[in-house]
Amino acid sequence: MEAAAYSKDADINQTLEKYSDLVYKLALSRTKNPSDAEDIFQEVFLKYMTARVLFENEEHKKAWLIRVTVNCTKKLFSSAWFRHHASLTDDTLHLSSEFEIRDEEGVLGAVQKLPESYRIVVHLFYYEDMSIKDISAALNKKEGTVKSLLNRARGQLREMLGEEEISDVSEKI
Amino acid sequence: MFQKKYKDALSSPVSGELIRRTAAQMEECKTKKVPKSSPLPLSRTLGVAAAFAFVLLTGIGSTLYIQHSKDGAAPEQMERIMDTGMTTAAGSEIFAEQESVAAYGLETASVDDDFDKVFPEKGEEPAAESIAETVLSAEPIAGTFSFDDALAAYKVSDPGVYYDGFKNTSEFAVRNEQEALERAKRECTVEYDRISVSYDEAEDIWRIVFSAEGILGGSQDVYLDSNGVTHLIVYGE
Repeated sequence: MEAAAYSKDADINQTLEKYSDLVYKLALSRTKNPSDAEDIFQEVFLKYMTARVLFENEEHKKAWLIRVTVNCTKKLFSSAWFRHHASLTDDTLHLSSEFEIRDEEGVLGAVQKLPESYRIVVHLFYYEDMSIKDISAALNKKEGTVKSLLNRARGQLREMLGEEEISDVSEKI
Repeated sequence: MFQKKYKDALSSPVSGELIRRTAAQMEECKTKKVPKSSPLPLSRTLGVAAAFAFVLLTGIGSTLYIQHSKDGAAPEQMERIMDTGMTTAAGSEIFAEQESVAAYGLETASVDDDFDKVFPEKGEEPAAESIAETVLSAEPIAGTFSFDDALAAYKVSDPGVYYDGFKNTSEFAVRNEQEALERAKRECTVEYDRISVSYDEAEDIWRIVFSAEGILGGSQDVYLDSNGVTHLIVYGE
């Protein structure tokens, strides 16, 4: 227990360094808005600090961070403020923030047009290189559901980007 | 090709300023040990001891125990106090110690525990059966609704099954059965005098069935998620 306590207290910088990319970009892929992603980023790591969770291993910690990020964005989507401002934030991906987005090919734009449930599995699969099994565990969904979501996302991406662009997607799934 | 381009688009590193700011907040949070979890001062400890003794004696200790456990206390330690008949002063000492321990994040909790804590309204979602009873339908759909089963049952090539071409493609939070129903009406293209709404909590999917009495095969099932996005429509069940 002592070792675990020390670990939780001492690894702030290490955890931030290791998972900042995961949390921020997952939040960005869900919110489509850099400012919202920053807010969620801070909320997630503060929850990490105050949560009474003893992580069994790094995979457990990673899955926990993914779940909390997803939950935080869900909470944001459900907030009255967001519902009243959603129409204004739909196309703000290319605006502001220190985070630079290079989407010359329009790939990110196409992903952002996918329904939210498709977007998250696409992001975890193609950006985080997570397996279907790991995504299924992190999102608490059945593997078959994750596969279905990925397949349908692929279909919509194919429509938006063309068959050639998306051919490697078919192969990977 | 797709994966490389997608990664390239997001290749910019996360702002150092954001990381520094967050690290500072985490440090601050650590040193403060979070007010609700911090060790209790002596006066409050005595107060807690008195209150604890009272609830134990009046037989509602178990209620408080459950409540406190929900708030993050270590059930094993509380159970030990209860089981061994330890004095309330000693019990509260452990109680305070446990609070201190909690501040350092030693408690074990599953991701699911935290899921409910982070998104508590999830627990308030009505069961599919109760929704069906409260929403209009004279003949609620029997059994448990599973979106996974629906996905397995309805293939893209099946007649009357649609996985795209929906009106609800932008996000609009759906938090209860009435909002799900209103959202689903945007997709409805059949005449109906019956509606039933059910919810698959595991997959976070609502199913709204529009049908009309006496019209066989004229129903429409709309499946949408809590972001108001339609995933599947099935006609003619």
